[in-house]
Amino acid sequence: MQPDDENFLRQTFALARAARAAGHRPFGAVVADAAGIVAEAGSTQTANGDPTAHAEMNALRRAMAVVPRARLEGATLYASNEPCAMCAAAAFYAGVARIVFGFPEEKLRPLRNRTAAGAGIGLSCRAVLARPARKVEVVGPCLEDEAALLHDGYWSEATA
Amino acid sequence: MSRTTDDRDLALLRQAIAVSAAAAASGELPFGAVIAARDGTILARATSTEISTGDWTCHAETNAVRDASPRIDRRTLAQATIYASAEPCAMCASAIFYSGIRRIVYGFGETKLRQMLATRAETTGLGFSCREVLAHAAAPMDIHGPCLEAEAAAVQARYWNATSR
Ligand SMILES: [Zn+2]
Ligand SMILES: [Zn+2]
Repeated sequence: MQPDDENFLRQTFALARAARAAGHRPFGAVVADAAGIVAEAGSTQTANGDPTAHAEMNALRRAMAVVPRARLEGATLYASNEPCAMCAAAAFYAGVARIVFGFPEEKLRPLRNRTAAGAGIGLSCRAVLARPARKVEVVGPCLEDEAALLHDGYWSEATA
Repeated sequence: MSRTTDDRDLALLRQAIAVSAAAAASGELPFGAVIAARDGTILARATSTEISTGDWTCHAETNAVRDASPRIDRRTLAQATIYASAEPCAMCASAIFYSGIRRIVYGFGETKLRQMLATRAETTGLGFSCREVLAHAAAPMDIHGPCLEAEAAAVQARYWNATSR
């Protein structure tokens, strides 16, 4: 990790806690560079809403709306949890240089309900990004013990 | 689960290809998608809007999912099919799975699209077929394509071979 990485990652944890408090899934994401935070978001995914509104997707879309692509090419996507295949692909399309994540997907999956939609796509973020010539650096898991607390008691209580 | 493509599927895929041609004509990338219910009723239609929005996640299929999901109940989506003028990428394939749609019919294949774009670094894809991505999904997906590939390819060739782009 680089010097600011821990601070930005902890900000994603705060966003995940806020998302959970607001009735959403406990995920947060930040797009940032050396100049600071470009965009941030929690998950706003709901059962009857936009199924693509993961925290990382939301943060990337906000970032693309507010800064030019050239700046994103020097930016990092921070995520409280390892990004899913969809969000990893979105990070590639948005042009970010790096991804830094907290909690690993392989440890989240057993915590989640086992319905098909809940279990998701078992293709890792690194696997999705492995083939193109333009590389997105992936760093994680990081601050895993802190990130794990975001899920404490959530998935057993979640009904959505 | 698997249901072979019939004439209605091909008619709906032709609509998605027509949407892709309209997208190109309006200055967007040449991609279109249509979501239809089990009885063929069209639930959503979308083009890529990457150029006009500057949001590089606004692929046609993801746009169609974002449009349909809040409006259409999950039981209807579970029986629906998404028709895509070109094979869905890893992002769109995932978005389709998350929406609860379980059937995909696509026109132009990803391998050929990649060959067509090989000289354009900025349009390099992730290099995954939608079948490969969705083989990792937690529910079986019913995927058909390439279909009507010559018709879908004609729209792609017209766009990408235009010298001004
Ligand atoms: Zn995601
Ligand atoms: Zn796509």
